[in-house]
Amino acid sequence: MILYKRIDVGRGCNNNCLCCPVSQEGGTPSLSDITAQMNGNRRFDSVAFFGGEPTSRPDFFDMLHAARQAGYKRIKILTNARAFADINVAAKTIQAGCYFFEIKVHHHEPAIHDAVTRVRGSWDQTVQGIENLRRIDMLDDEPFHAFLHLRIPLSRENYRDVGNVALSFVPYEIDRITLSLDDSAMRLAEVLPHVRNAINAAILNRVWITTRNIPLCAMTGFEHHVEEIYSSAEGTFEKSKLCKQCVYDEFCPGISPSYLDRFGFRDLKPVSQSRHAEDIRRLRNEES
Amino acid sequence: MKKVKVALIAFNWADHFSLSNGYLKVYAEQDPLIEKNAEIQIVDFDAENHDVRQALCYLSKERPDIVGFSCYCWNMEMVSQLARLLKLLYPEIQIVLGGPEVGPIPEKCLAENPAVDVVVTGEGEVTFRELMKFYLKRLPSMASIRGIAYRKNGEIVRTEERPLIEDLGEIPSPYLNGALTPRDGVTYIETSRGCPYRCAFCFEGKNFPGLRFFPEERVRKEIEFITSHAAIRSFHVVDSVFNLKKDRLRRLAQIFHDANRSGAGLTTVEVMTESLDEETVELLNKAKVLSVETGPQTVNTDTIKNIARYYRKEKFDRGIQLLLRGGIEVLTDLIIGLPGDNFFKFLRSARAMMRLRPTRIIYSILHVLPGTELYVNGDRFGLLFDEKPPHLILQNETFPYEEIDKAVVMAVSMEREYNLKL
Repeated sequence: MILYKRIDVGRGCNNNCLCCPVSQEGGTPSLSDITAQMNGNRRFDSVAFFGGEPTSRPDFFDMLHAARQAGYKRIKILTNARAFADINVAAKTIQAGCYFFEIKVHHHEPAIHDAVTRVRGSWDQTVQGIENLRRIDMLDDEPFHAFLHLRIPLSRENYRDVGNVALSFVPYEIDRITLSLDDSAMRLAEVLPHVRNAINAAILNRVWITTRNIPLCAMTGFEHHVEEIYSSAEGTFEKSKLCKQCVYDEFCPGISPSYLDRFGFRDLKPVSQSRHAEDIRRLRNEES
Repeated sequence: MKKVKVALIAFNWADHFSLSNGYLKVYAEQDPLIEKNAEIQIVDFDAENHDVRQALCYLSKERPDIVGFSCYCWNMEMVSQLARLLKLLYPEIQIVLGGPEVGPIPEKCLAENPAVDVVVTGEGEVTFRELMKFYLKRLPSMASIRGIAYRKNGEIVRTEERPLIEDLGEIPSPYLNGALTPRDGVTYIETSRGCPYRCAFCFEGKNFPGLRFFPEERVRKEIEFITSHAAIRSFHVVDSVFNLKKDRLRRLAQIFHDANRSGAGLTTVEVMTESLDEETVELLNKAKVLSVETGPQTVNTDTIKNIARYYRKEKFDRGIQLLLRGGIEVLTDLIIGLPGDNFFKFLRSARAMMRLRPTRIIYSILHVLPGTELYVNGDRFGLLFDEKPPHLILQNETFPYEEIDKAVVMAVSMEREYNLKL
């Protein structure tokens, strides 16, 4: 639940995912641009690089070095982990001071994962990458455990299986799971039962699990898992007039415009009462 | 006359050893009668790597006449099991239990553990010495020994409470008298006993109110001895609050500075952060304190009130910054399941700590320990907890079970993320 300074390192990626939420517009910032961002607002002591695929930058290790030089205590990358299928890359990344990995996984069946990434063999490399990151269990002669955070983008290809996707990675001692609603092609009413099942399954297996991009009103009873409660939204979202009646209105991110274009607000109902609202409001206010 | 054989046993975690058993041995052996007629050995078992059968095997070779156990919530199940097996094998063996896990609830302990003969309540040194005299047939009955519960004709009898030792100088040092050997990272010293605070979750303040001090000259000698072992790079002070009185801290810092032969550091010293100022941090540095451990357990006002804890946000935050600026590592503690908290209030405490950027944040689930205010009066807050050690909280009226369970799973993840090697 650490808040990271998020730095966009560009569009380049070795996957080509269906429903990739990353806008294809915009260029690739130079290392000096990135360094300038890191040296800018120092409200954070932790930094997260996202893209695109950070490891696909030729100056990836220089970027990690720059983050260390800038004094960040924690360096995280949002990655597909394919680069770490080469254990030397995994080791070099960790030795460079990057210990936090938020890894996108689409499915536990290789064929479906590869169909989403549109790269044959990507599942094998991602899983090998996770294995390699876990295999590095000593650093500077001390026990080491990289922080592996699985991010499962919910899509029409995987939402029915999301519980199994999450569970299949538990043996890798995953430290956290996030389910993010990146695909606007499914109605919330269809997705939510599977999200709740996945949450229950993860908790049963003692893995903390959160959601992203799902409005709070849709998560009644599961508000504990909504990441936006303590961190800001990652995209642009919209609300309806009815949201004004919801006790969660002031800290709920809303829903994506593309979802609204397709389904409107019919699955979203204002929450009139919640025993959590006041506590969440206080938590949120203190973060801002 | 054949010597009475006594084994003082502790099951410890993380390769630690029992300071309390060291005190019992050296205090009892001050008595010439005991010194002459008893052979007291201290046996430390590792609770992780030694199982009860190994301990049983050892004791079957040694065949002590009396076995004393140092009981805590983390080892009580092993103690119960070993006591039961020992009594089965050797019915004549006398089994004596002491420590915070059993002292406040001696009748319950005796009722639940038929193999146990005596439970020591409260501070153990004087009581154990009198028990030894009884076993050496120098006291006619147990009835005259204060601070115990025992069995008599199938009934459980509890004697009058024993007052605390007024002058801690009466207790010899277990290090200086050869009962304990210092080891790196797990050597404890005590410069004071007791706590002036009354935190409802804590054993110390309620059972050992007020502060008593070991003589400063003895502290000096202990430090000189401990740091004369070349392998000792760090050791601990187990005082409830190291910085309560500044004039004493000034003297202690000088002693720690002057007596420390090898430059060993002091780790995880408990401090009252709210009372820190620049001078105190300087004194801690002078004493070579490398890391401190401190609350706040929670930052939520209602909860703070319920658990009678002293917490002042501005002073606490300032104290943490002073420590960090002074180059001292800071471990802040939070407890899951306190009455008045809930999932989101706990998360609020966690986020408040993260914003302070201490070196580490330590999360633990509430143990409702015997002898604490919460154990005795938990009904006020609807506390439900496991009567069996380690007495984990199940729920309270503001924090239902399912939320506590989720908070625990979340805390494990947060702890790994925050505390990962930086």
